[in-house]
Order: sequence, then structure tokens, then C-alpha cells
Amino acid sequence: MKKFVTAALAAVFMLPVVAQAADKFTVAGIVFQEDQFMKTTLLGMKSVAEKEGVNLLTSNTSNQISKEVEVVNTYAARGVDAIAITYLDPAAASIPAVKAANDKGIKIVSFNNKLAADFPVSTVMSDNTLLGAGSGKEAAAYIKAHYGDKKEIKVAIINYKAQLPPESNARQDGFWNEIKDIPGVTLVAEASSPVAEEAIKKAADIITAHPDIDLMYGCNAGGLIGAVLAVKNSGKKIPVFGIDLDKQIVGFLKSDDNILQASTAQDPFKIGALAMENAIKSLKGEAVDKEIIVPGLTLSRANPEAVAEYAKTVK
Amino acid sequence: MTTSDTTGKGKGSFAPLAATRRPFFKLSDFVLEAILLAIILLLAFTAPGFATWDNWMNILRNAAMTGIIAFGMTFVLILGEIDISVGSGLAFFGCLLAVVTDSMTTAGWSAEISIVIGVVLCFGIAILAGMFTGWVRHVLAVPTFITTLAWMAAFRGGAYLLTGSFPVTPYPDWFFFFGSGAIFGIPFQAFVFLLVFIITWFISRYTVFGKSAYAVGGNAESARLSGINVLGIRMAVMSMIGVFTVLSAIMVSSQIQAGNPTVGVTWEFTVITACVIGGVSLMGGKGRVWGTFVGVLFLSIMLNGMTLLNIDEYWQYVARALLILGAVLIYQVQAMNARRG
Repeated sequence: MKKFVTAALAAVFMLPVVAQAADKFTVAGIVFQEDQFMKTTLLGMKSVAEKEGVNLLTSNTSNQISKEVEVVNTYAARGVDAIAITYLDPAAASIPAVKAANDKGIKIVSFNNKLAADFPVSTVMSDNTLLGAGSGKEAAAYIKAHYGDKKEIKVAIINYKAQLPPESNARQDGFWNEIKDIPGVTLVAEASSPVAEEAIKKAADIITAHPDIDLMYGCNAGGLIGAVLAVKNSGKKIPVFGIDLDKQIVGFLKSDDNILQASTAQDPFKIGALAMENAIKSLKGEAVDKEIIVPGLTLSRANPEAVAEYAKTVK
Repeated sequence: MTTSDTTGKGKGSFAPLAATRRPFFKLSDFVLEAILLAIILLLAFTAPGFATWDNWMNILRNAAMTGIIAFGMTFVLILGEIDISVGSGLAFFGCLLAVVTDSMTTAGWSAEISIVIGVVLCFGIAILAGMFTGWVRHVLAVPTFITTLAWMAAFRGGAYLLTGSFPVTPYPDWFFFFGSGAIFGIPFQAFVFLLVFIITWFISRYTVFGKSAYAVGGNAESARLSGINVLGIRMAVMSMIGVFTVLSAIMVSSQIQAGNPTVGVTWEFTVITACVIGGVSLMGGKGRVWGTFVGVLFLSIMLNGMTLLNIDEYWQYVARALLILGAVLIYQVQAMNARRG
């Protein structure tokens, strides 16, 4: 009986080793929240993993750094071959756990944000300043076309700096830098809310405080949707620009209300797919780019064909 | 939890139901209202657009969605219980309604029938969940904090599972009336908010059910010995907050024109904050629906005023913290004075 138990235990503990020996890479994909962006990055990873015959494990760290450490340690103990991860605190707290995993020979690929360390084999991300600039250029063109004679052009911004300050600030700066030098452009109000149900309240308050506002900008989907709906409720004709694209936002761009003018989106599917591709390449010993910036896509209601084309791909 | 006090201000042990009616007007009960009035006057002179009809309608619209749930939470807290699942419930019921509508309209049903069935389903689940929470609290002595903690995770997970993390947008234009429509220039949500306030205020002051909730919150065993159906009260109150959460979820979904699994994060704290500012005790047995009404307006007016004044978001957090602390200190001083006679 004792021999049987020993053999059974040995078999159980040998299972992972046997499985790994089967020449199939195992890659862990780690995101920090369950939203559309993160979900789509995982879909990008999944598509490459299926194509390449890689075993993909996924986790969500639920915006908790302690859980991030726990998940990374668990995957390291399990002996995965690579980890593709977006960090909660890339500047400091996220480093030790992935460093320990890297020291065990696990390849680390960063996506969405960049770790303040040199050991990840690759980083795949968008540039939030460029995303903001994409919509900023559209706003600048709109201001020149519609407010050419105006002495003062009042702008309001809904950001989400209370949730993710560096990301939100980069998007805001990228937008603002494109329009700030146009004569008369003035930032009259700024509020923060990452979610639509709160952003709509703040945008409505801003419209009340500045009934003559000329333009609004939402730094993420929540701020953008909140701004568009607040403008719609007010009955005013205030143009809105923003960041992010989903089914609802594409609907705003196609709507006859003429409120949302343009929005720039990251390409989360491509970010996830490239992160997985680079993980596999590094495992195969192939060269990978140390840093890849995935460009954003700007859609404007001035280009309805592009909006219609994008609408076919958005869930 | 040894007191039962419908005034939310007094002291003493569980008293007979007939003796719990409070004096109609007592000046010291209205300190918070006086502070709120002072803030309103200050904002009227300093915040651009504050003293306008449109802005007051904004304030009512903004207060409505959390306020409706806060009235339910008032009863839960009076009972000596808590419900921390309301934010997740808001997301779950909004997503459930959207997914049911989406699935049924795709299958060829009319939007009207689909939405009605979705709404009935949401109310049904909310009521059953509340009854279950009240039942396990009473029969198995499981604290409502624990049960609603489980509901919180289940509802949020359910919302993500239902939608696959993507916003669902199946609604016809008429549905948006519930979130952004107005009657005689007054937002629809404001009517629901005021209606729910009047109903819950009446229940708390003039019905056996309301008095029983105070009695159970003050001392459940004494309440049971005096013939109150404690199990029934607990199940009914926990179901009532579920019903109000569904009402709010319908209006939020209508307002943002989608079922979105990320809505309602930390709403439970906003709702509890409004109750606490309004003088509802987390220890049970004390609190007034009117106090919660003022607390909800207080929060909404403060946030509105700070946005109008373009005050940085980080300072808004600090202001909210000071508000909670200030309100609690006022009630504590009042309670100490009352004890001294």
C-alpha cells in the first residue's frame, strides 16, 4: 500500500514535468482588471497562442499589487516558460516578483506599460501622449474650421487622473499640446472620472458653470461617453473629442447628433498578439524588438467610410 | 445595539412602539440642515451657474441614483445590518437587463416585451437574494456583512460573465427617457428619487413595519418577545434595498445607454457615506430617512459645487473626508449633550 501511495504521489508530482517535456511552451498572460481593453489584449494573446500551439494561462490581478505578486510567484513555481504582464506599479512594487521569475529563467514580456528595469525581453505598448495627440490634431482642425473668428475658445477636459495619473496626464498633455497654441484656446474646466456614470454628472456640472463652452475632451471611454451624453442632455451643440473606441463610441461617431467628432483608440488586440509573439520568439531563441510602440487609430466623423469599416470589427 | 430610537438623536433602551414618536420640530436636530443652507448660500455667490434652475436639476439628477439606494440602506443600517453588494448589484442588474433585452430582440421579440421581462427578472432576483440574506442572518446568524460580501463578488463576476467585459447596447431610444428624460423640465430620476423618499419616510414614521425595523435594530430579542416577526422584517428590509438597487440600475443603464459591468464601483461607500452624514448609526436602531435625504443632497451639492468651482479632484477627496468626519463629530457631540441631559 505504501509503495502504491508513493508511486501515485510521484506520478502526480511528475505530471507537470511530463507535460512540459511534451515540447509545448506554456505562457502566462497577466492583466490587472477585467475591462474591454484588458480582455481584448488576452484575446490577441489567445489567437497567437492557438496558432502557435502554445499553452496560454491567464490571470487578472484585480488592481491589487499583492495579488500581482502572488500570481507571478504561483506561475514561477508552476514553471511556466514565459510571462506576458501589464503591471500595477511598473516603477517600483511590481519589479521584485517578476525579477525573481526572470532569475529562474522565465522570459518576461511587458505590455501596456513599461517596467523600470532592463530584464524584460520586450515591451509592447501604446504611447498615451501620441493617443492624445491623435485626437488633438482632429480638434485643432475643427477649431480652425469652425472657430476661426472667435476670440476665446473655451475647452473642458474630463480626465481620469484619480485612477491612473501618469496615463491620464499623458493623454491630456498629448491632446492639449496640439491645441494650446491656437490663439484664444483656454482650458476653463477640468474634472476627473474614469467611469461614464460619474463623468456624465461632472460634464453636466461643467456645462452649467460654462454654458458657452466650445469644446470638450474625454481622456478615456468613461469620460468621453459621459461628455457626449451630458452635451446631448443639455441640448447644446458642443463638439466632443476623446480617447478609446467601443461599440457605443462608434455609434456616437455615426449618430446624426453631431456631438462626438473624433476619437483615438489603442489597438489592444495587436498589443496582446505582439506580446505573445515576442514571448514565443524569445523562447525559441529568436531576436525580438526591445520596445514596440503600437500606433493608435483615430476615427473621425469626417471619414464615415473608416468608421463603418471599424464598426464591422468592434464587438 | 441596545437602543431603539426613531429620532436618531436620543438615548435609552427599547421603548414601546407607541412611545417612539418624536416631537415634530426640535431645533438642535437640524444642525446639518443649517450647515447645508450656509454652503448653498456660499456656493450661490461663488460658484458660476450654481443658483440656476438647470444646475438644481443637475443636482437632483446626480443625487437620485445613489439616493434611492441610500433610502434602502437607511433601513438596513437601522436594522443593525449592512449591505455592501449594492454597487456590484447595480452593475449586475444593469447588465442582466441589457443582455436579456439584447438576446430577446435578436431572437425577434419586441424591445418593449424584452425590457419588461428583463426588469421583472431583475426584481425577482433582487428580492430572492435579499430574502436569502435576511434568512441566513436570522436562522444561521451569518452577519449580513459576510453574505453581502459574497453577493458583491457574485454580482460583479456575474456582470462580467454576462457581458464578456464588453458594454452591451441593445436599447431603443424611448428607454433613454428613464435616465435623461424630463417632465415639465424636472428630470425623471428626480421624481423617482422624491417618490422613494416620501414612501420610505412614511414607512419609517407611520407604519408598524417601520417601527418594527427600529425595534429589531435596537434589540432584536426584545423585539421578538414583543411579538415582532424579526425574520420577516430582516428578509423584507434586505429585499427592499435590492428593489431600490434595481430601480437605480435601470436609470443608470438608461443614462449611459448601455449595460456596463464596470459601473457602480465603490457606490456602496457613497451610499453608506450619505446615510452616515445624515445621522444614521452603523450600530443600528438610530437614523432618519429625512437625515439620509439631507445627507444625499449634502454630498451631491458639495460635489456639484466643487466641480463648478473647478477644484482639483484630489482636494475633492479631502473635502469629502472632512465632511464625513465633521458630520460624525456633530452627531457625537449631540449624543453626549443628550446623555448629560
